[in-house]
Order: sequence, then structure tokens, then C-alpha cells
Amino acid sequence: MASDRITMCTMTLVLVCGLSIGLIGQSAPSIPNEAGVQPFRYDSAHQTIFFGVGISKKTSKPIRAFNVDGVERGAAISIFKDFPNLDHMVVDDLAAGPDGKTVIAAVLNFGSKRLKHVLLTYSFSGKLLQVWDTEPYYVQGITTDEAGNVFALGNRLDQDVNVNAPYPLLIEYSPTGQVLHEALSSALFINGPRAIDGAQRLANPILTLHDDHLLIYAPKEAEFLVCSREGAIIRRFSVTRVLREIAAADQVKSFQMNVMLGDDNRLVLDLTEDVGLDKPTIRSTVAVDVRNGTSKVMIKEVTRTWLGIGIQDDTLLVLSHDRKDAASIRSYDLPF
Amino acid sequence: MHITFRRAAVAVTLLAGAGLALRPLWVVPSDAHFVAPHQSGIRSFVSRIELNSRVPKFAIKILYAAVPTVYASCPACDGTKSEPVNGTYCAPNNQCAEWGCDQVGGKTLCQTYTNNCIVGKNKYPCPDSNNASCQ
Repeated sequence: MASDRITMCTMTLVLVCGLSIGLIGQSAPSIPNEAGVQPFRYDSAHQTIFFGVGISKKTSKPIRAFNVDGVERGAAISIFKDFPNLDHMVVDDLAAGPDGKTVIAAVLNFGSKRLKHVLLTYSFSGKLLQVWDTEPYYVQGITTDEAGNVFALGNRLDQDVNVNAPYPLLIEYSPTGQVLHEALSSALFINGPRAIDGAQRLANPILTLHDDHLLIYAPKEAEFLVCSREGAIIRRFSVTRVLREIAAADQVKSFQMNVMLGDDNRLVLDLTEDVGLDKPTIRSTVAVDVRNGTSKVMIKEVTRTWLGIGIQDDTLLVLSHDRKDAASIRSYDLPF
Repeated sequence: MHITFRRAAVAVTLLAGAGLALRPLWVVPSDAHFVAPHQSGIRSFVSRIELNSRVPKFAIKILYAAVPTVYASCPACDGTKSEPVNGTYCAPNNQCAEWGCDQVGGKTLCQTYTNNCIVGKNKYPCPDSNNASCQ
């Protein structure tokens, strides 16, 4: 009987040790440095990380996409090969489409004030399939559904902000680029059509699809919106109060912020807090429950070697530059 | 007979030249499907032509003389000003941008259009590399 107990204990110990070693041995998914050390956007609807957002020149690296397990998604995309006279461009957002396609919202600059605001669709093999000229709309956020319809968040380039009548900021395009639906009037926002503009240090506009709801972050308005697929607002939440609370607690002079959306109920703020010229900058990651407005600081530190990617299920994914040759994708559990 | 032959040769050459000159106007980059869902008629046509990189700039300028292009309402984006207008710069995407650093993917990047970083109250020149981090 006693020997049975000892055998049982030994087996349990071996199992626990084996599991621990297994966990330690598991390496985090990683992105090679030649792709991963550049600005990125996370398509949370399809759990894809796109590298190559922002300003690009002919000498810049091509766009590359990775799944959150570290596996590269499709071929690298070089927009410059399709537009040889392109001087430079700004990639505002990217989304994964069906059949391995990639949709890109970009401003193509041909020099001499020749700009084109476009949505480009590329195949899995990196071939340009579609060019949609969205003007007079300037699209700043995109997401796709399983059928290949594209939802675009943007504002018009031909309207005077303070004079013109309200207009829709959300457009649904068919897979071939026809306008199916327009919604989310600019009149719904204090800042009108500029509500969805990037607020410099306070995040980029976000549009994503989760469980048949559209999740939107409007930076100038500092507001998170949950909408139906038709664009009707189901919930809206201002992050201003959360920021004020953090600012008061940490005596923050100014913020830089990255917002990550998870589902209807949660978001995560990745903050860089400037607390004065003679003090080190604080990096804090705060989870917010938008149902009741409560927030919880997940991580707070002075130096940081990682960037928040986004939310997947109940975890926060981060891109950690803790290796010489690659960046690792690591995760933190969300508090609620 | 000789004169007729020469005239015919000239005519053929001119037609071929005209054909070559016109041909690019009808080609969209690669064989991609093109659509301009918010535009119609001549503007859609011009947009299609403009995206064709083989069309010479002067042809685009002539076409835009008839169909003015769409520009942002940012006064700093009129192409003549390098200094800020009402405290804003013209960003590469043709939108007004305030002083500060680009915040892209959670990373603070140097503003290539102002060549400055501002972190807190400090303003300093961008690092050498494009899209470099300000921190």
C-alpha cells in the first residue's frame, strides 16, 4: 500500500516535471526581423498581423503578413511593382480576405500633387486583382467578412468640415467594389466627420468585425463603438474618463496611446505616459470593461521591449523584441 | 505611283504613331479589375487613366484641367506652403496633421514630413533612417 503511494507520488512528480519541461521547451511564435521590425496593423477579425503600414518608398520592405502562430500568410506584396511611377505611398490599413486575399487601404502619391486614394486587393500569391478608387472618400480603416464584402471607415476629401451637411462615414462594398450600404452619419459625433481621424499621439482609427458586430475606434472622439453590420450603433463608450483617472493617478502630463479592440465588452489601452521632463516615461497597459467602465492596470513598467498587437479571445498578444534574430509573439491573460 | 506609295507610307506611320500614343490610355495597371464606386462618367474614366503608370504626366494634367482632382480641405496641402498653416502640416496622405509624432502600430515614429520628433515638450530632429522610432 505504502509502495503504491510512493509509486503514485513518483509518477505524479514525473508527470508534473514532464509538463513543466514541455511548457518551458515550447517556444513562442516568432516573426523574423527582416519582416517584423516595421510598423504593423492587426486584423483581429482574422487574427493576422500585417507589417508595412504607414509611409513607404520604393526602397521600403514589401508588405508581409503573419498569422498569430508565426506562420507567414501568403506572398509578400510589393505595390510599387504594380505602379512603377509611384513616388511614395501611405498604407493606412490592411485586412485579410477570403481565399488568402489581402485588402489594402492606401494613398498612392505619384508626385506633383497627384494622389490616389484606393483600396487594392491582392491574391495569396501577391498578384494585384482589384483597384478601387474610393475618392472622394479617404478610407482609414477596413475589415472584411467571410463573403469578401469590405467595410470601410473613412471621410470625404471634398467636404469642408464646418460647412457641409453630414454624410456617412461607414461604407460596405461588395467583393467587386460596388457600394452596398452606407451608414454611421458624421452627425453622430461631436467632431463630425473628423471623429475618425487619427489623433496623432492618441491612436489610429480602427474598424474590425467580431461576431457579426462592427467594432470601431474613433480617435478624435476618443470613442469605442459597437455597431450592427448595417452600421446601427449598439453601444458607444468614451475612453476619456479612463484616461483622466490614469492621468490623475500617475500625474501624467500627456499620453501616447495604442488601442486594441477585443469584443463588444472589452478593450485594452497601451499607454506611454509622459510624467515630466525629469522623470522616466511610464508604459502601462490597461484593460477596460466597457459594460461598466471599470479599468484594471495589467502591466506597468518604465522600460519595455514589446508592442501590443491586439486581443485574441481572452489574451492580449504582444510583439516582444527580446531576441536578436526575431520578434516573439507572447500573450498575457486579460483580467476580465 | 511613287508619290501615292509615299503618302500611304506616311499615313500608315502616322496611324501607327497615333495608335501607340493612344494605347496606354486604355490600360489599367496589370490586368486588375478597376472600379471607382463613388464616381461616374468622365471622372471615373480619368481616374482609370491616372492609375495607369504608362500615361505621361502632361496627358493627366490636360485631363485634370477639365476634371479638377479632389483634394483635402487642409490649407497646408495646397502645394505651395512648406510652413504650417493654422498650426497644421500637410501629411503625406494629404490630410492636415498637427505637430507631433506618428503613432503607428503602437510605435512612435518620426514624422518624415516635418522631419521632427516631439516627445513631451522636447522637439528634436528625426533619426536618419526612414520611419525610425522617435524613442
